[in-house]
Amino acid sequence: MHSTSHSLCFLDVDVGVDSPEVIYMTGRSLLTIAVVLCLTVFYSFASNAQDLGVVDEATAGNFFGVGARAMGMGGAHIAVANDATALVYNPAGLARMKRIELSGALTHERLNNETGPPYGIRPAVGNPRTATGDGQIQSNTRLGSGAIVLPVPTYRGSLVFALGVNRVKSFDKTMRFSRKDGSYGIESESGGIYLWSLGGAVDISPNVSVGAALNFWDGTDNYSWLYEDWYEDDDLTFKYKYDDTIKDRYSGFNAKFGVRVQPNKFLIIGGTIDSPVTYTIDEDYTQKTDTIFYEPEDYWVRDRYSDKAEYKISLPFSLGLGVGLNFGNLLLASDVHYTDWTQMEYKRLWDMAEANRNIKDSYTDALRWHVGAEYLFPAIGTTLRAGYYQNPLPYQSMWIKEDRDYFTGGIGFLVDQVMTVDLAWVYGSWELNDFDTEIAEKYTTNQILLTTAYHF
Amino acid sequence: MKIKFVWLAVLLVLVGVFAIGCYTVLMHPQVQGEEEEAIEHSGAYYREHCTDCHGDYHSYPYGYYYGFYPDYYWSNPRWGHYYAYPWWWDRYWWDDDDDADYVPASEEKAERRRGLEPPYVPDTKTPASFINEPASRIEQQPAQIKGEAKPEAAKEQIKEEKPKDEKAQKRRKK
Repeated sequence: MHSTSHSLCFLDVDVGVDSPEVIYMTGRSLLTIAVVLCLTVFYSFASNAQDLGVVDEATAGNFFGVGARAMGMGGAHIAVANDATALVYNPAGLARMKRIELSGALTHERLNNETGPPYGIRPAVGNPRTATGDGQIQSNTRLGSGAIVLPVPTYRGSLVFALGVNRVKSFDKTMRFSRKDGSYGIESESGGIYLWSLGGAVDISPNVSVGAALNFWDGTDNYSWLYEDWYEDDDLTFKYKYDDTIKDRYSGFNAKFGVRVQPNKFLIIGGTIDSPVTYTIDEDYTQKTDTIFYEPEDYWVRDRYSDKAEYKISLPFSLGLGVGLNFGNLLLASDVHYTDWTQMEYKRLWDMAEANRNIKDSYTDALRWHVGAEYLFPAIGTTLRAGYYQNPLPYQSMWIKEDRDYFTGGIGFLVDQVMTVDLAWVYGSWELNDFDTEIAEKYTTNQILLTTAYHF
Repeated sequence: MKIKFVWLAVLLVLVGVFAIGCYTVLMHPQVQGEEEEAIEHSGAYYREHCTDCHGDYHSYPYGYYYGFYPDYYWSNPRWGHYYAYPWWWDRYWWDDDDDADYVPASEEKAERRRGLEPPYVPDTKTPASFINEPASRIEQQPAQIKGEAKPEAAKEQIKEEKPKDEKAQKRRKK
């Protein structure tokens, strides 16, 4: 979220003359101030418009899959996690591990954005404000995870500890649009949040395990917004360009608790509770505006404004339930996650009352659900996986045309009894219609996850 | 305020699990009257074989029964090794430092790498069918696994076997 809390700021305004004519500076300064004020007001509107009219909190409803095995199965892993990713999906699953495990993962994402006139309405003929076809591609390769799992020798039952870091939220995003009149906008965002976890699990009966993980959230969100447009009437003509950047550094703590029950050889049931997490956000932002006047006279104005702020946001409890069914070499799994995003709350923000009202008005509760399957060919040490999950956007909006849904597939190999190599592919898509700016946004994402684990 | 109650409840559960005790056993309880005895895996010490004290060991061997694992873990040993065979059962080398110069022969190391077999049970007393099949397949288990009384002859056989343990004899060479 863009904060306007003022702890340190400065404003630079440069004025240049492109015309040799002598101009009364007082009149020009008044005009400049008036235009800059108008642009500031318009900027605020434009910023809200691109945020779909709500307080767009990047961490809310932001699920980025961890582990190639899990994502090959559509992320359905609460009941069936039995590797280091249990730290993220269900810490109780750690109790199923009997070998010391060292694991790591890489992720690659290719996000494709397409923009155009909103679907469902006819673009006005000859309207220069109607968006034309445009778009942008953004690719990012990241370190996905690293973990070590240490099972403690037991005479009976299980006691396992684990330490890991996983990239659980991704801010990588891009959007570009252009209009017939030459105006255009480019939105770019990169970064993510890494979850540092220390967890453990213990068997409390032959078929019941409980686990917990203490989590430290740490990450960065780099956001930029470039926008160029014209204004023209009988007395005034000018072109302006915004080039704004926001850098947010996130940090916070929470805990995750899990239970895993296997009442018989066919059925596994898992449950998780994520405690609320309060992020502390250190924000640096810079707004640059270049304005070139053509009427009533030629000159330009460069405006630069920087500021820093710190605020907090609290994300609510999240509950998860998973079921696994085991039929010989076939494993079926399904998860649901429930979070009431209306309980999200800003803290230590100078205008937090309004921001929190916007949350209540705009956000909603969301049910994220996953299904997946894994089939083992034991003779060749290979597993095939497939899955699907839906990750609804957490706010209410008539502009959501198609919610986020994902198809996944994967393959895994067991190498010489001590090592696994897993590969997963995730394809997702969603569509938004912004009727105010008459821009339709379509996103498709292709993700590749590569995970390897070594058992000592 | 609600958060504090949640944390307090979680803390109480954790303390309850670890302080009062739970199913998981980390250390073998000390046997009364045997506190001073050193545990040697010599074949002579009675506690070396879990079945000496635990009659149901074949049904629920300590450290071996980890819930209902899919069948393929058992019928395909390499998967079983990866997922189900505890690292602390690996006996590639001798445990004690007092015999550091001893290097086992390759056949002996291979014997220790068999995997999927509970430790400290003589080969003759661990039915192969149990090693390869999940415990849930009761109908396929030998008679003594189903909880039936073991024949008297079997106990005598245990006592006779212990001195024949070649590994133990090697350990005693000094």
